[in-house]
Order: sequence, then C-alpha cells, then structure tokens
Amino acid sequence: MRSFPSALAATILALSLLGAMGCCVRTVETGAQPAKESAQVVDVEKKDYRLEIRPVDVEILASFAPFEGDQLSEILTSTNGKEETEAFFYQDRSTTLAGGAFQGLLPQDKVALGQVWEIEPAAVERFLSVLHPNIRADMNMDGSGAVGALSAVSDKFFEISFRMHAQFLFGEFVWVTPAQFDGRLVVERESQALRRMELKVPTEHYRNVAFEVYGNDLRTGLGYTPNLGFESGKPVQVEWSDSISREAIHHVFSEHLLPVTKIDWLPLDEALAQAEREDKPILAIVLEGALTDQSC
Amino acid sequence: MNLLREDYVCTWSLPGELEEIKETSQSGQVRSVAEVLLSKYRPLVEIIRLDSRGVYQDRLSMNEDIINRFQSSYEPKPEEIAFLSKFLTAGLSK
Repeated sequence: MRSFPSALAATILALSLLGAMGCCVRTVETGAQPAKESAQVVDVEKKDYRLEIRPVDVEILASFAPFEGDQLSEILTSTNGKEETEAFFYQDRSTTLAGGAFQGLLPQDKVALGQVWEIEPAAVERFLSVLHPNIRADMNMDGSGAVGALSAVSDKFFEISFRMHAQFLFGEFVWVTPAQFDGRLVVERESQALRRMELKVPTEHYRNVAFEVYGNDLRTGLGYTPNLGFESGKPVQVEWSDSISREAIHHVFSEHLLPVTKIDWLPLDEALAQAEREDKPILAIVLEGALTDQSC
Repeated sequence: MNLLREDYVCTWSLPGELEEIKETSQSGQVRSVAEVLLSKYRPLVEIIRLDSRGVYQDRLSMNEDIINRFQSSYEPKPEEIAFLSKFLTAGLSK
C-alpha cells in the first residue's frame, strides 16, 4: 500500500486547490483579457472559418424562475426582510437585444472547429444586460472570464458555444452570482443571420447561484433557480458535417476558466473503484456549491 | 495541482448529492463512504482524506481559514436591505 503524502504536503495541496477554486478565496480581479484566440484546441481536423453575425436587432424571450433555497430564508431573516413583493428580475418577457451585442462574442480572426477564444468583459456585460442592467463580468471573486468556441459546422450553418461567468450587483452590497451562463448560437453561414440563440444557467446541481451580502458581517448563501436565461428563434434541425460533443466543449471551457477542473474529478463510485485499482488514497471535497462553477 | 493528480484520486460532492448516494447507491461500500463523508462534513468546505479502500483517514480543517478571510464590512443602506428583502421574498414565496 502507498503511504499517504505528508500532512504538510496535503495542506499545501489543499491551499493551492482552494486558491484555484475561486469560490472560497475572494479576490478582486480587474483587467480582463482582450478577445483573442487560445491555443487550446479540441483535437479535430484543422480548417479555419470566419464567423460573422449580421448586426440586426433580435427579439428574445427572457425567463426567470425565482430563487429557492433554505439559506435564503436565513439571509432574509438576517436582513429583517418581511415585505411581500414581486421578483426583481425581469420575469418571462420579450425584449430586444441590439444586433451589435453579438459582435463582441465572436473572434476577430478565423478559427478552427473546437478552438477556444476569450470574450471581453464589456461584451459579456452588453450581452447579459437584458437579464439585469447591473451585470458585472469582472467579478469580486476569482473565476472571471468568458469563452466561446465554434462547436459545429455544416454547409449552411455554424454553431457557436460559449460560457460566461458574471454576477449581478444590487446597489453596492448584494452580489448574486449564477453558477455560469451556458450559451449557444446557430448562425446561417451565407446570410450571417442568427437563427437560434439559447442562454441558460445550468440546473444539473441543486445549487446554482451564490449570494453575498456585505453588511456588518459578510453573509453568504446558496440557492437554486430552475430557470434563468433567454432564447431567440425556433430550434433548428441541422445535420452537422463536423461537430464537437457538448461534453468536450464543456470540459474545454471549464479547463480554460477554472484551473481546478484540470484535475480529473471523478464521481464518488468511480473514485472508489479507481483508488482501489491503483492503490491510491482519495481526496474528497464536500462543499456547498459546485466545485466546477461559480455557485460556491 | 500536478501533485494532487499524482498522489490522490480526487472526488467532490455537494452534501445533498451525498445524501442521495447514501440512500440510493447499489453499492454498500459507496453508501458507507457517502455516510462517512457526510458525518465529517462541516460547512462550507471540507477536505477529507480516505485510504485506497475508502476508509476515513483525516480531514483538513480549512473552514476557519476560509471564513477568516471574510472581513467585516459596512452597514448596508436601508434601501439595500429593503431591496434584498423584496428579492428574496419573491424566491421564498414560490
């Protein structure tokens, strides 16, 4: 049997890990990266495409289901809030997203299928401002960033996927941070028309939003929203000639935005099987919000 | 990060997901380990080491290290509190 790494080494490892998690070590980070191509490329045939979307205003339907979660009650009590009112977020409503908002999501140069590029904070804020006017892409914690990638190609269409990290700031004191914004665009190649757009906060975990309230003490909480995002256009049925799986794209986005995801995190049952097979100890983290997004 | 990868098999879970594993997993070993992890867990984050058979070894007391990073701040303005209350009430009333 292998011996355990020393406690000191493990502590250093854990500290490094927590630093990389971003969800627990709050730092203020500014100075976002300009949009640029990344060397991070999913292993597929290299052929470059120029991506463009016609700058036409787009009608969208924004949707929001109010936050749920036991800890919200605690925060509510701590702030003496008993008032009855409607949700702040714009609930299921139609609005217009200016065509120019899409330009900032695209790379300036040609890209290959699977190639990841960074999206500037200003572009993220412009795009997400239809959900709430006070959106911040330069967050008050580690993990700021947004990336896009060409995820599928056919003779007629492109599919562009993207992931954004951002938070809503209410006044000066209340930060609301969704786990991530997961999006997808389908663009007609010849006309450069946007045919379909989807953006949502994933709901795979039962916690997908974090709250911070800066009062005399910092109060934090975690909640869940079953629906926060917007969409435009009808779903398009496309037979893609080349594509990258959603899992592969999500993995590359995660690695780009959160270094901690470069570790091969396994579900508990798989970790137990592998540990026994390789005779390695297990490092298990139990935490309130998902390790692989901004909800913790 | 590399050391973590080389020296350990890594896993993470939310406590609620561990509860579900504890109740529903087909494997007795997995159910048992989930129960141990839950019993050792303290909010907000717990890092727990198990041996290669899933037997509990120790945990790293990271919670105070994390919590101590949260510094006291200033009193929110009444309108901030009112605003948050409205916002959260909407969620709770659902």
